[in-house]
Amino acid sequence: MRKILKKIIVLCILTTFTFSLTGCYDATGIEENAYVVAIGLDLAESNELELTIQIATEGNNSSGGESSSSSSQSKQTNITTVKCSSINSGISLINNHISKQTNLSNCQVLVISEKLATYGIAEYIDTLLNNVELRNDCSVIISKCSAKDYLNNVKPSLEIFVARFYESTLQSAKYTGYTINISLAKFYSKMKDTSCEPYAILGAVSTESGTNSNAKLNYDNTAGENPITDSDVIDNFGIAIFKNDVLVGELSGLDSICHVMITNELDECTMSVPNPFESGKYIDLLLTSEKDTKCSVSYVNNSPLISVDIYLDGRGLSLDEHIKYDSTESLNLIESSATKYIQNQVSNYLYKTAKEYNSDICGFGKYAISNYLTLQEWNDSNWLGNYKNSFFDVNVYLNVESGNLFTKS
Amino acid sequence: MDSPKLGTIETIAILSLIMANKIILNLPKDIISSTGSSAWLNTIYIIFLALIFVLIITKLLCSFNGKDILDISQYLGGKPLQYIIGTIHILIFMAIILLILKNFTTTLKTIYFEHSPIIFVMLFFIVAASISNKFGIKPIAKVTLFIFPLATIGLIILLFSPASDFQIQRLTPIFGYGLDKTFIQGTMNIFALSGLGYIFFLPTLMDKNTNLRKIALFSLGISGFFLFLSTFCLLLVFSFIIDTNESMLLYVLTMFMRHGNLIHGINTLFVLVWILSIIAYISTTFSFALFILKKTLNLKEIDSSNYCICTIILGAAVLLQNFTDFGRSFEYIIQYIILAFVFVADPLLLLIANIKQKLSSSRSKQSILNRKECL
Repeated sequence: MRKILKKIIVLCILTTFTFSLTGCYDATGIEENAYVVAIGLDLAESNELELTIQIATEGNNSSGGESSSSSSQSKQTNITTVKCSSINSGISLINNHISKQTNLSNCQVLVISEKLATYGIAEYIDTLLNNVELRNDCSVIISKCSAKDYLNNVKPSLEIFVARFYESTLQSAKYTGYTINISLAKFYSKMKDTSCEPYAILGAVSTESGTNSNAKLNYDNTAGENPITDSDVIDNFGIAIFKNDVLVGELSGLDSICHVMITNELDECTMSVPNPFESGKYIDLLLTSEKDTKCSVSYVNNSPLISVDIYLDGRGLSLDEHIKYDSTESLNLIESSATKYIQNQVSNYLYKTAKEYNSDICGFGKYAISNYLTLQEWNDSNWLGNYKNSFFDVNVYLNVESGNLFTKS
Repeated sequence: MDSPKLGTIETIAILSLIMANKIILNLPKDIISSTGSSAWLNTIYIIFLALIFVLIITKLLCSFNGKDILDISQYLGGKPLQYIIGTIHILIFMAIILLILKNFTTTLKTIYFEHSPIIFVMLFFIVAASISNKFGIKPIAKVTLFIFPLATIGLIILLFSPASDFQIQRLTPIFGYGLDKTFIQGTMNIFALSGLGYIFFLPTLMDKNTNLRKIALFSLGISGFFLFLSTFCLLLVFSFIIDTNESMLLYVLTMFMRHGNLIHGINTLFVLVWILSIIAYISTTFSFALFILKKTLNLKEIDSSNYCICTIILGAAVLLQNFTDFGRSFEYIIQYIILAFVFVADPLLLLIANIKQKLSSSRSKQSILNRKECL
């Protein structure tokens, strides 16, 4: 009995020592770190990398002149920019400059300037994904302006915390379809994949001079071109389209809606379709996905023939004395007008990705791959190179049920 | 008072946890790297091969009721053969512990203990294994019985956490890097089920009334299921997942875990379960090594050997850490040695012993008949 007791005491002492000692060793407190909420990458004029980090701080709010602590749950931010040879050396420089050690575990967005993206961003994406601290679900934004300007203009008016602002502002893609929230991991995966190409959120700073007055409908614009006036000047709108790791173009908000329809990422969106009752005018429909889009790939004379069947449900949002949702005939008219319009827009979008950019951002390659027996045969087919020769057969099956609350004015 | 021998469920838990740990230690990644998109097909194939293997060795072990490979080697070649077989297996088990220790602690250090000397991290595991082995295999098995459900539930949750990013088309092209890589060179992937090698030592560790074949088949079923599931899920998720470092693969998966704004950043919880699971694995393997040592050298107590082996393994692990290139070659060589012994040498030894037993029994029958004729 005594022997067992002795053993238990020894075990207890050992356990206590083990846990207590490891707890103290190299432990760092929350106040010792500077929590980065966003990383920006630019190409400086001297062709050097310019790293900008946005750090959440309590800053001036803390009273009594106590040392301010950093937290991602903070409204005020501090932006630090450094010219460096690589991301990690830049972070080291910033660590040396500021009083705390930067911590990337709360980073919400990675902003890369358009200028840098046109030169290729593989090395930066690889490096960031190799970082243990950085969460791989942080969003990738391609900024039409410099990343530093983009981050400097982040002034959330409806959110208290900066980190939450990034989270919520990118969630809007779910109910607008005007852009698509893509994480660092997804971007990287697409970059490495042989059956699709990567894409990212297109962002910009809204300015009056940048407004596009030629656009017929708002969603024909890309980021920064929308005529919006408010204190939130950041605009995430459209898609940045890549070929491998190189930015090759921009897609509008309408293209983004077409994209989410094809890739089954459509939750809901509002689309303006030509009004069949009054020429030159539009009806707004609330579109949701009825069932998953069906895609298939076959080959005609070595050129891919891609069939896309989209199934949508629609509800009329617009209402005036000319628009009626009360009879089968009028619903059919709206349905056929909308179907034709969506079909055209989706076709235009697909041909744009194929002929103009040769970038399979919809990932049709994953449907083509099942035609091959081995990876060698698949690689020999050079899907991503051959995508430009693709032809599309788009079918839209739209079911317009009724108006939202009223059937006629 | 409990029997010091292992019961059916305890044995199944031990065998299954050993093979589940191979998933934590990155084996599905190796399968996917070597076969490509046909990894799921290759997994089914190696499970089928392992099934044949289990049926054969349990049949061969049946003829030596309650005897393990050490007893059988003594029967076949006397004490010298037992010494040789015993020594080789002790070295193999020590090498397994060494490699687990090296790989897993490197991962832990990279993730959480960046500034701590690796020897501290290694000490956690070695001390735990040493203390647990003072109490024998039965308590280890009982703790394993508790850890096993935790590890498996955690694994299932983790594997399905990126389900929204699954792409079923990643299972094609169906033959991946080719038929040869899938079915001929891919046979080597049976290493993922090399935990079945522990079966050779089980007969003397188990209760006499337990059915070895049933246990082996059940364990193969559980571990085969988890191996297939993990290969299948990892194949469906992001393409870059196979480029991860050492045992980082599952950790990278934990980083994808996010359910709304409430559940995210719970990777530490998984790492805790893995630590428990790896400690159970190391302790079990260690107890097998000590069991062989005790039996081969006819030792009465193994406490001093326990500390001695622990120190040797710790020293070797630290040394291996300092020689990265040698470490990689060592891992590669050990893998082949384990394959050779588990799937070739040990079954061959069993087969020859069976033939010898049959010949001697037929000879004794013949001599009885001759004696009868003489009378």
